[in-house]
Amino acid sequence: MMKHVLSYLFSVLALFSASAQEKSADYAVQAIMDEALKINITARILPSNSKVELNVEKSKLTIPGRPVAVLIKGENILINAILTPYESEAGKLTLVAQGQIWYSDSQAEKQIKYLSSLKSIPISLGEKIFFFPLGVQDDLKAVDSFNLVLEIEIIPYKSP
Amino acid sequence: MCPEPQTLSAYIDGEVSAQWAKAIETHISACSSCQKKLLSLQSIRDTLSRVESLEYRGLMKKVWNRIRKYRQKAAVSPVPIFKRSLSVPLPIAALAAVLIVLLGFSAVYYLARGDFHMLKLTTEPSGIMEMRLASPIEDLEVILKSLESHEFKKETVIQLPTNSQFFILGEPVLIRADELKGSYAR
Repeated sequence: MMKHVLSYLFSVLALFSASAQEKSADYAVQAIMDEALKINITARILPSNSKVELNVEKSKLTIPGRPVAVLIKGENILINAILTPYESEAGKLTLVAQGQIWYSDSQAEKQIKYLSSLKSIPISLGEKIFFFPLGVQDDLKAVDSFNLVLEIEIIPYKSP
Repeated sequence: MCPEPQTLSAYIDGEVSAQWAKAIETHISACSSCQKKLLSLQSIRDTLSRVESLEYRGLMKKVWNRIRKYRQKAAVSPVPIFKRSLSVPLPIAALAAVLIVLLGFSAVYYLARGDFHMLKLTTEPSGIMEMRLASPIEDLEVILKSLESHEFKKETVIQLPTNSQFFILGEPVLIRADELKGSYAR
């Protein structure tokens, strides 16, 4: 009798456990979806009327704390921009931007130079941020030179 | 002085030397108590020798036949795994049941909490930063890669315009849109 009661109890518990695990997995996925962020990155050259034109849009999914890497390739330059959003409070983020640059001053020069930097800024969801990995000129409207900029916007990812 | 029962037993079995056997014989012939003991030991010895001569081979054969039949049956039709029984002591079974229920409820509780975060950074007034991670990062990576594979390319590579040389203008700058207009737009 006791054996039957125990086997019935274990069967019920096993069913409950399986159901709980399934729900846990659903909760975990839903929790990730709720936390997921969409990073929209637009690479541009400023000013917009300069001789060189660039307008490339990319999107990446991540969660707070997970870095997103953007590789920018040019003839004399290679930029690895690593963007990591950290959640500081509800709706608020701290964006950490790490820039790694390999470049040569001229095509004739074979020497490759390396530059690394780390910048952070507190932002709100949906706020637009500009990252100039190569620095920025004092006058952005001056047409005789151009500035490479990554326009970054971080918004909550909405599950389809 | 009467000999010990062990000595009498050895005497019956013929395990004492001739000199001692003679002394014991002499003593027994004059001691009624030892005569009784001797008779008793001899009686036990006779009984045991009769038991040894009993026919036990038939019984052993029956036992072996039963073992053989059981083995043959087990080889022909093994017990299905779902019909096998497991004997677990009741306290252990009860403890296991309680643990399973507690684990199930705690998992549901933690995942259903309103303030649940997969990863959160908090900074205390003292300046100490605390990182809370609610799930192994490997699992998150798999799910995020899966999400990305549906809608986005895995690699984010931006190709700069050809025939253009880019140079370092200064320190990298990370700036808000409104600050950019105020600082750099002349």
